[in-house]
This record gives sequence, C-alpha cells and structure tokens, in this order.
Amino acid sequence: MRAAVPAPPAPPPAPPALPALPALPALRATAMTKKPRELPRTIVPLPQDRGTIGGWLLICLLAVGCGDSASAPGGGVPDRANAPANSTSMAHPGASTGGTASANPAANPAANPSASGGSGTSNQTGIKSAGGSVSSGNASGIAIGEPGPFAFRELDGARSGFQWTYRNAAEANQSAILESLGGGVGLIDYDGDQRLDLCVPGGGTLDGNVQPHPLPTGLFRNQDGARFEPVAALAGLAKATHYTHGIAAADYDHDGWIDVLLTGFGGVQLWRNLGDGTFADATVASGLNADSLWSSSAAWGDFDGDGTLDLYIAHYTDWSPANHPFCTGPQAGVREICGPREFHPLPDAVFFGNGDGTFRDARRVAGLRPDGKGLGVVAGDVDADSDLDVYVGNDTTENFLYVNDGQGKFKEVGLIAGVATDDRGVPDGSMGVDMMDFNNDGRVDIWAANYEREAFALYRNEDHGQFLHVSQSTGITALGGLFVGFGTAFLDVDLDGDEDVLVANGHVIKFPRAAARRQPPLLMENRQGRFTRVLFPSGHYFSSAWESRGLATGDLDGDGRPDVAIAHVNEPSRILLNRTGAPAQDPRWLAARLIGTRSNRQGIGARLVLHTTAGPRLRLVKGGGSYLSQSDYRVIWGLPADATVERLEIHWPSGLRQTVAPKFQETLLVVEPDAM
Amino acid sequence: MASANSALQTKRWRITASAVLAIVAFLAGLGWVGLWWQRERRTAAVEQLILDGRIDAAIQELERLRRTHPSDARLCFTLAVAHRRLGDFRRAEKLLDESLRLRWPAPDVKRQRVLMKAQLGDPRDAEGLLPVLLEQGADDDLAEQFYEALSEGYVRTYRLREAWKSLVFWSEWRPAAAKPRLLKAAIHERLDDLPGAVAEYRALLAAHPDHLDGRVRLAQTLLRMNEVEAALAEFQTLGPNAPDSPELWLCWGACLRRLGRSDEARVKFQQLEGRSLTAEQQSAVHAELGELELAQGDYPQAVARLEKAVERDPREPRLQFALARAYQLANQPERAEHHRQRHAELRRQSERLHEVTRRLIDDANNVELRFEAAMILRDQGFENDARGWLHSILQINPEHAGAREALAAAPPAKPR
Repeated sequence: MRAAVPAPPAPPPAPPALPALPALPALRATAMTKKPRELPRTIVPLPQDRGTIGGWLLICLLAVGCGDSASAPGGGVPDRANAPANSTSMAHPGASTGGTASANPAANPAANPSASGGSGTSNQTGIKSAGGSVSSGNASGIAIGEPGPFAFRELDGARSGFQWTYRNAAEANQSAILESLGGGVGLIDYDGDQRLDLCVPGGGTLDGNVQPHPLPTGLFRNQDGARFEPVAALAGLAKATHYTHGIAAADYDHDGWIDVLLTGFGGVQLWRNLGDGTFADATVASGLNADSLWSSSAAWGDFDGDGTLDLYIAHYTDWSPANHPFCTGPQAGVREICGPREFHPLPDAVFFGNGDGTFRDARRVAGLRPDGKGLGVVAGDVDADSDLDVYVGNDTTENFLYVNDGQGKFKEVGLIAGVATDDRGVPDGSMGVDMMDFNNDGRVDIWAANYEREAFALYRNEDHGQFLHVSQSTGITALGGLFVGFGTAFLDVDLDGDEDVLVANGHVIKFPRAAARRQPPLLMENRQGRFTRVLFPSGHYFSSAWESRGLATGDLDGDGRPDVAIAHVNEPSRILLNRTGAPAQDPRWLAARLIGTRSNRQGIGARLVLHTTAGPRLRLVKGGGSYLSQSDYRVIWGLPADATVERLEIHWPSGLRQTVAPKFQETLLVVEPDAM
Repeated sequence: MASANSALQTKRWRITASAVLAIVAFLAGLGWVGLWWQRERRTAAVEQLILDGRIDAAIQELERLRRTHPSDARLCFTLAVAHRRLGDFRRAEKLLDESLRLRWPAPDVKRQRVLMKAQLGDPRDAEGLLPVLLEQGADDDLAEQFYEALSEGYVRTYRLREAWKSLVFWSEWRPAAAKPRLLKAAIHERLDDLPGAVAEYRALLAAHPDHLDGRVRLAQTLLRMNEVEAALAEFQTLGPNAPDSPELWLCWGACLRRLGRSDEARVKFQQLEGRSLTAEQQSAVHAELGELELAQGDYPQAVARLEKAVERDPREPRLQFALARAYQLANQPERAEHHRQRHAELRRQSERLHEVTRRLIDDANNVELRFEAAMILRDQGFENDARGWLHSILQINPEHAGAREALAAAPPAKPR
C-alpha cells in the first residue's frame, strides 16, 4: 500500500512525489600460565547444594561491611584468602566422572518458591512487587481473549539482595546518543556452583565536556535462587575502565571458569576468571585493548574452528565528545538525543583466539564489512554445516548475516538471504537479535527486535540459505508499531515444546511523539508458529512500563523453567522468576549443559536435537544474542503433555555427533567425547 | 344568416384557441418556472457539495445540468470553479472563457484566474488581492477559496512553511473544513510525522464521519505506523455499508494480511481483480497477492504475481524488492540480482530526494536543490512532477539555464 499523499493536481508545477520516508532515527545504540582445570570425561551429575564453610565465610565478610552497595560497588576489598575457598571447593565437575546422572532441582530448596517467603513490597519506582511469594492471582498472564498459564514472580530488590541500577548519565543533561544505548545483564555461573549469578555493567557519567567516565560493574552471587549477594568488589571486577554497556561471557582460556567481557565507549574490558572467586583484568594481556571503538554487544564463538574461542564485537557509531552535534527537540532550542543517522558507522571487530589467552585482530581475514551500526549480535550454526555463523543487528543500516566457511572467513549474505531489511527492503533500526527454530521444522530462524513503526522481524528459514520475512503471517506485525525493542530472547516459557519470545522495550529519545518513553515488555506465546501477545493484570511487571534495555534468560532457581533478568535505564534492574505452569505436578522439561573438550568449553555453535514422539526439537548453543546481555548457555526444552523423549542428539562444533538418553526434570552435563 | 353563423363559429373557434393557447402558455410557463426552480435548487445543492469539498460529486451533477441548460452562465461558471478546485485547469480555463461568452461577470472570472495561478504555485496576485477583497467585505466562501488556492500552491511548490501558516489559519478559522485538515495531514506525512497526520485525520473525521477519503487515508497512515489493528478498526466501523471504493478495499485487505488473516485478505484482493482499477491499484492487488503466495511458499506463483505488479508500477522500490525476494527463493539468482539492483537504485534516489526536500523546508528558494529534485524525479520517470519542479525554479529565477534546457528537452506534459 503506497503512502497517502494529497491528490496531485494537474500540470505544472506539480508537487514532488515524495518517497516513503525512512523510519525515524532509531534512538533514535597475559599469557595464560594457569593450568586449566581438568575436565570431566562424560556426563556428570550437577551438585545439589553449595553450602560450604567458604560460602559462610564469604557471607560473614560481606556482613561486616566489605560488600557492595546497591549501585556503587567497589567499596570493599576482596578477601581472596577466604572467598575462593567457597568457589574452588565446591561444584567441581571434574570430581565426578561417568554415568548419566542428573540433578533434580526439586531437591533444592531454592527451587521451591514458597521456601523463600515474604510479602509483597513496593519498590522505589512505585511498582508493586510480588516480593518473596508467588502470587498466582496477579502474576498470571492472560493471552488475548482467553486465560493463560503464564506467571512470573518479580523479585523484590531489597529482599533478594539484587539491587542494581544502570546509570546512563542522563543527569548530565547532555542528550548524548551514548545515553540511549543503556546496559545489559549477564547470567553466568562465575563460581562453578551450577547456580547462575548476575554480572551487570554499571554504565557511566558524563562531565561538562561530555567526556564519559565509568561506573563500577556489579556481580551478584546466587545464594538460593531468590537471594543474591553483591560480590563485585570481593571478586575484583568492580572497577570499570570505560563507560560500559554490555556483557559477553565465556571460558575463553578453556580453564573451566567463565570469563567476562564488558563492552562500552572507548574499548572493551576482559576479566579473566581466576577460578578462586576473583577476576583479573586481562584486557591488555589478551590484546583486546586493540579495540578502542564504541562497542555495544559481543559474541563469543569459535569462528575459525581451531577449538579456541574467538570474539565478535559490534561497534556502533562515531559519536564522541568532539562529535556531539546539537539535534533539535520538539521546540527550537530544546536539545534532543541525536539519531544514528547523524553519525557514521564504525566497523565491527573480530578477534581470533591464539590458544594462549591472547587474541589477534582478524577483521580482514574474516572479511567483515566496514559499515553497519551494530547493536546486537548472535552467533549460531544457521546452515547446519558445523561452523559458527554470525547475525548482526544494525541500527538503521542493513543487518548482516555472515556465513562462515569453517575457517573463519565470512561471506556477508544478509541481503541475498533476505535477513538484512524488512519486507519492503528498508533497513530497520535493529537492536536485540536471536536465532531459534520457532516453527520446529529443524531449521534455524532469525529474529530482530526493532525500532518503533517497524515490525519486529521474524525471518523464517526457507532452506538453501534463504529466509523469508514472516512477521505478518505469524502475527508479529499485529503487535503494532509503538514498541522500541531491545533485549529479546526465544525461550519456552510455558514448557509446551515451542519457543515463545520475550522483548524488553523502552524509547531512546527524550521527546518521542508517537510511542511512550517507558514501555511494557512483551511476551508473545508461540502457538504452532503463530504468536499471540500475553497480557498480564494491571500492576504486574509485564503490564507496567519501563525503560528497558538488556535481557538475559536462564534458570536462576533450578526449577527447570527459564527465568528472566532485565536491565533498565536509571532504575533498578529486575529478576523475574518463571512460575508458569506447574512442573512439580507435571514435569515436562529437561535441560543440557555442554562442556566442550575438542570444541570450545561452552559448546557455542552446537546444535542439539531432542527427538520426541512429537517430533524433533532443535536448540542452539549460541554466542551473544539478545542485546548487550549474556544468557545462560544451558539449553532447556519443554515438551507437550503427550510427548515422550526418545533421544538427544548433539552436533558439536568439532563435527562430532553424540547421542544421549535424557530424562525429564534433568539437567544433563554433557561432556564432549574425544571421538565417536 | 349563414355568414353570421360562420362569423360566430369563427369567433368561438378563436376564443377556444386563445383559451387553449393561454392554458398551454400557462402550463408552459409553469413548467419553465418548475424547471427553473428545480435547476436553481440543484445548482444550490451543487454549490453546497463544493463547499463540503465533494467536488467530484458536484462536477457530475453540474455536467448533467449543463446538458439541459447549455447556455446557463451560472452553471457554466460554477462548473469552471469546480474543475479549478479539483485541479483540472485545462477544463476550468475553457469553462471560464465560456462563462464570459455567456455574460457572466468578468471580475468573477478574473478572480478565478488569479486563484488558478496561485494554485499552480504563483501566489503573488492572490496574496495581493485577498486583503483588498476582505476589505471590500468578500463573503467567507470566496475567502476560503483564496486560502485553499494559496495553500495548495505553497504545497505544490514545496513552500511548506508558508503552506503551514496558511493552513493553520484556515483550519482555526473554519475548524469543520475538511480540506485544510487533509493538506495539513499531507504535510505531516511528508515530514514523516505520522502521529501528527493521524491527529489531523481524526479531527477531520470527527467533523465529517462519512468522509471516505479521510478515513482511508487515516487507515493507510496507521498502516504505515504498523498500527494494523487500529487501521482495521477504521473499516470495521463502516460495517456492511462500506462504500464500494477500491482504495478502501485494498487497504482493508492489506490490514488483514498484516494481521496474518491471509484467507480473508486473499478474498478481498481477488474481489478487486475483476474491477476497473488504476495501474497503481492493479499493481497493489498483484503485489498483495504475490506476498501471500510468497508466505505460502508458492514461489513461481509469487513471481508471476509480482512481475505483474512491477510491470504496472515499476518505480515502486518495495515491489522491486519483493520480486527480487521471489526470484531468489525461486532459485533464479540472476533475475533476483537485477531487481535487487533496481530496488537499491530507486531507494538511493528516494533517500536523496528526501534529503533534498528536507533541506528545502528551510531554504525554499534554493534553485539548485530544486533542480536536483527535478532531475531525480525525471530519472524515476515522474515527468510531470519533474516539470513542476522546473517551473518552480523559473518562478524564482527565470534565467535558470538548467531548468530552461530541461524544460525544452522535456516531452509534452501528459494530462492527468
């Protein structure tokens, strides 16, 4: 349908036939000397409890004042003599070998929401929080027109101990585009106790010369799935070197401990996990200090197939304190945040791991495009050829799909493959991205959360490297054009066998005209390949408006249901524990965590196919994904009520294929065999 | 005796004949008065149609009346005004000449010519005449014609600031008038302020709930904003009495397709296929059906449909892109590449045109920008529009060599 224009009257001089105008501007973005930990050799059970003397010592230390404060961690001095004892003494997967045992989270008190009591409280934003108890009354979601089973419990910051606010420097009143990107959230098990902890960038401040300055990074140790303790200072990673945005975590040195990369303005910061509960800044030693551009999201993955992790870093635009134009707001003289079109794109970066903890700049070798205003990046095996492909969400420029030749040489095929633009051939303002198989056809589809007036993009894999923009036929477009989507993830919220989608929203400019600055998050239920927005009662987190950015998913409380953490701008981040359905009565989930030996440690790039009587269910171990955030690498399946599991087939990045026999309510720890 | 009888008979006959004639004359007079009264009533109704902005309907009625009253000066002049307001200037000019021949007052005809000039983009005479007329106590309807002509002229020549000023005054002076709302909405759309356009359309529909064009444009704008449910609601309010308008049905079908209601959308588009449609409408129908085939995985059928769409509207970038996708999926990469390149070229030109016109808002007399806009439009095949831009250059700088050469080299204007 062509845009409406006034009836053009006859001969000269006729009004110019203006084209459909482009969308509003979006935002409108050491050599390793430590001996690697010995790896387990096969599937091992997960530890079921983490109560150790070291853990108690850590809690005691925090209690006497060396812990973090809510929004400005870093005041404490980590006691490495005590803190590591906790981490290193427990949850050592290598302590047990063989068998196909699994953990039953039901045995864990943390898995039982009623175990952590407490009543509802109001948080500082005035939004009613469900507090420490499940409130099935106000937490049940309702799909449009009919009741639904969806429920989330919003953890109260004060009670849970997770109190963290990303600061974007809005108080400086500089209206810098830097402010619009916001921050992410990472769900990582930094201490190896099989519980997901939270690592959160802190953002920064701007001085009178618009010069950015960093704020500390946060780290919160998961105590029981509902309580978290701030340990950033203790762990030694509080001190940020740049104004930070995002987090990407993986075990880059293959020592068994997950390391942390922080992105931001002026460079990245790599924190090497020492395995004793502390981190060391390895930015310079690793060579990643070579990257000094404004970075947003990043993705780890073994792009060149050598078994070591490489790194893709998305860069945004060439804004700087010296390149800070005045963009007019709703009235003359009122400053608005400039859109990305005011700036030039920055080339993304890719670094290949050398295997010794250092990296080399591989942008030319990889053949990256020099343009693009990257905000989101996800790495996964799109074409089932056992190497890692990369999808980059760019803001107002074409999105990239890099198809890997297996040696780390990429061919950018976004436009030809049909995933670079919307269905009219116009680039979207893309932010968060993901890969998944939404229609259970065994092929990897692609997803991008976009700016207002642009439909979120769902690209269905049509095979032979071709995709089709199917947002309309799947009901995605029907959501309307008022959302500015950032953090996003496909996950089986209701454990019914297909992956639903979550999007965290919020505007980027100060004076939006159509959409609101604060926007509710979206949960869209997958109903056999068509999506329906799930509505929640008034007062619920999902029916309230936020200025959201990063979103990460993972099973925080070990009950098999994927939970969610969402970062906001200048207001506390939130944890939402998934209480959908009743898995205790009808356990229809299973999960797998991969440990690569020949492949990279996290198994990034692996394809996992769960064969069931209801058909195969494909899941990926992905690098990056969402927006500025790190989700758990563990893969979770839900299953339809009448389906039974036949086998789990794992296609490792190394090319090995492994088959295991999973069971319900199990998180399998699957170690890559030496050979099949 | 016989002669006396004969005279008496003759007299009687004469009396009878006179009576019959008188009756006939009376009846004829009565008929004439009836016809005159009816014509006056219809003319007044037509004038009301024009005031309501329903010029198309007014013209139809006036043409009917003219067939029975070809020498009626008032009808002729009113028809001229209607054609001018609709933008059919050639016909308007002929009818104004005819009005003069039928002795319609020359000052009225002259005023219409001034308005026509303003409407075509030269507002100088109208700007001078309006205050004089207002001083002389011109009626509101005439004053409104001035605002209309000036606003249209400003929009035509891309003097959006002047147009905006005129339209704001007009719509505040006559809040129920439809035309200023439509023009303001069009300017909002050109400036990519779609919420602003929606507000204008909604204000228009509040005053004129039956304004079909306003409702269709509102729905189209909502569709551009991806507010598909809201767009569809505009049509659902019409219910079973929805007017039989191809634009309406097209937009309705597009809403259904965007909501994933493919079967219902297909029915709407197929119903349009047998109709008499403009080339653009035909193209839109084929494009929508092609997109439906694409989503269903019938790539050859999608290619066939989209080929027809492109054939009828080759300058629409979206269609080139869709056809490229269809060819790529149908495993014809060379053809896909051809249409991808065409799409890229059209988009580049459109983006440049967007940039040029954006700059013209604050620099309306920049003839070089205008010349660039004209050349882009000419490259894209919009010859009439390009000519309009070239004329606008000559109004600013009559000596502009580039514009003169381009106009001299241009093919003759095609009547719309």
